[in-house]
Amino acid sequence: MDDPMERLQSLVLQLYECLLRLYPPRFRGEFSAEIRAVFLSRIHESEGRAGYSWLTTAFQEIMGLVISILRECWHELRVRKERAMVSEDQLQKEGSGIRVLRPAGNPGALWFTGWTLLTTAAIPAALITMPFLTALFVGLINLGVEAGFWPSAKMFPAEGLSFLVSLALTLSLVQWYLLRNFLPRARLWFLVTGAGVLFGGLVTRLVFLGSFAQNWDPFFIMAASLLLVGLVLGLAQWLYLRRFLPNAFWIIFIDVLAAGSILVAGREVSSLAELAVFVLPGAITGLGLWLLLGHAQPRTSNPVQMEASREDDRRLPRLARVGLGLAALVPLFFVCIWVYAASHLALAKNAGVYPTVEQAIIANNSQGFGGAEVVRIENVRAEPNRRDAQPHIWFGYATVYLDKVPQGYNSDHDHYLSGKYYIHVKEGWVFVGEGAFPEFIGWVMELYNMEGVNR
Amino acid sequence: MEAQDYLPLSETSFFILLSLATTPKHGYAIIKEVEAISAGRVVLAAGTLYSALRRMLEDDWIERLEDNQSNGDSRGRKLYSLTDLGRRIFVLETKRLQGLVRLTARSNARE
Repeated sequence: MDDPMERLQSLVLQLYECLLRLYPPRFRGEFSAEIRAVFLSRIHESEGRAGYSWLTTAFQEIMGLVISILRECWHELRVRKERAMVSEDQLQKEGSGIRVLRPAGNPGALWFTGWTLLTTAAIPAALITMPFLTALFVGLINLGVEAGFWPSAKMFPAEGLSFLVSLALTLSLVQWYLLRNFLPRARLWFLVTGAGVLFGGLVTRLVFLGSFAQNWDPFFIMAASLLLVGLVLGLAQWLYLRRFLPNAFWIIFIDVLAAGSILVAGREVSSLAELAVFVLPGAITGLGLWLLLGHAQPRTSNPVQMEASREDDRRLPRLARVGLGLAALVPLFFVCIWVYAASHLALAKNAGVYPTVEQAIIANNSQGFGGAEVVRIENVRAEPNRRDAQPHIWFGYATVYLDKVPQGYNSDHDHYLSGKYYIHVKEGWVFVGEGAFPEFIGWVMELYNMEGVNR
Repeated sequence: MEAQDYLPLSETSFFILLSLATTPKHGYAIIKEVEAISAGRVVLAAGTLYSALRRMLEDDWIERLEDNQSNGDSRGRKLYSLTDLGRRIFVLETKRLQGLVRLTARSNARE
């Protein structure tokens, strides 16, 4: 094995063996021994030729194998899908011409629970992915401003739009995942749901958040906005469902009811119990779809039964699958925290980068509020947030004097003490709100060497 | 599906059926035969070949036989043979190609 050529050949063979394991279990069990034998024969044959011709053969074989693996994995996905669904030519044709869906099984209690939880989880998931998208939008808009396509980055509602896009993506993704075994061409559900949320949100913004509605009761605006989003989403989903379900129009009412259910919390959510209302949209849509899909069974006396064979014995052991899944979470965690920190820092830089922390404090506190303007700022001082660690995170104080007591300010003082976090990035000092967890961002900055000053 | 419905064939499928038209063969022999018939122009990788064989087995174009001369190495060597459907498809595709060649020749002769 000391011969480098032999070692290389052994490595190529090991690579080929590893790749063979990527075939779907059924194909692997049936053909991998033959494929391996043919590969060895071809390598053995090419060894007799001059030079490195065996390497060329091995390369051709590996490329062919990779393409074949992709093709077989795709084929396996299609086979599984077909096993879970009754093909369209077996669907009953009703007199009206409506095609009736008959999935190979009904959604059950587990499906309903999963739907409720995942649909609810889509909202916090959208909040988590929002900063990344905001940073992306802000970056694109800044490019547009530099190129002269857009007058000012401040005119662009980046945060609102990114939340809408995040919600559209997360919601449509989880719902497609849960419906894919019960609806044909379920990827269209992903499209109509995403488009419905996005379009509904944009229409709401145009209709109710425009200048003419500024004097309306905020609760009325919220109610009308939610109901309008529900209506648009329902219409979009109905366009898809009507092809497969006889009573698909109910989805419009279900979506309106689900969106309106958030209003149960009242004007504002002030307790954990009231926060639970966000489970209602998921529960209502889950129940509605469960009923709609349950009634989609054809009324034939002898329905075609598809046997979905489970081949768990050919899959990896459960423990290995769980282990692999957990192992995959580790790199995912590090990617996510980088995305979180980088997007928050990008937003902070967009708001302003200052050469000293004192200048950052003054700039950050120079905006008045509640109709009051800032007159002067005194006692500006800053110090490291922690003496022994994270020298790039400082806490800055200032006493801010206003020209009058701001409206809604529960005090007769015309000044207040400001205390905020400031982070030193490579370019200078930026302000990061306390709600963005600046200490956590600081820790991620240290991990990825993103901080300006370090230990 | 009828044999006609599978036409036209891909080049890979056609060469595999052509190589199996005379006698049943195992995977490596198919690769060598295809290489020889096409004068080295078509060299099938093992993965490509067995993906095509899987599809042909599923569509009932070919069948798999045990190789009695494999000296006990039954896992590595299986023979593949054309079924009636596979042979019909091959004959129809050959006729289709011959028709195209005739048309081309006639067109060239007119010019």
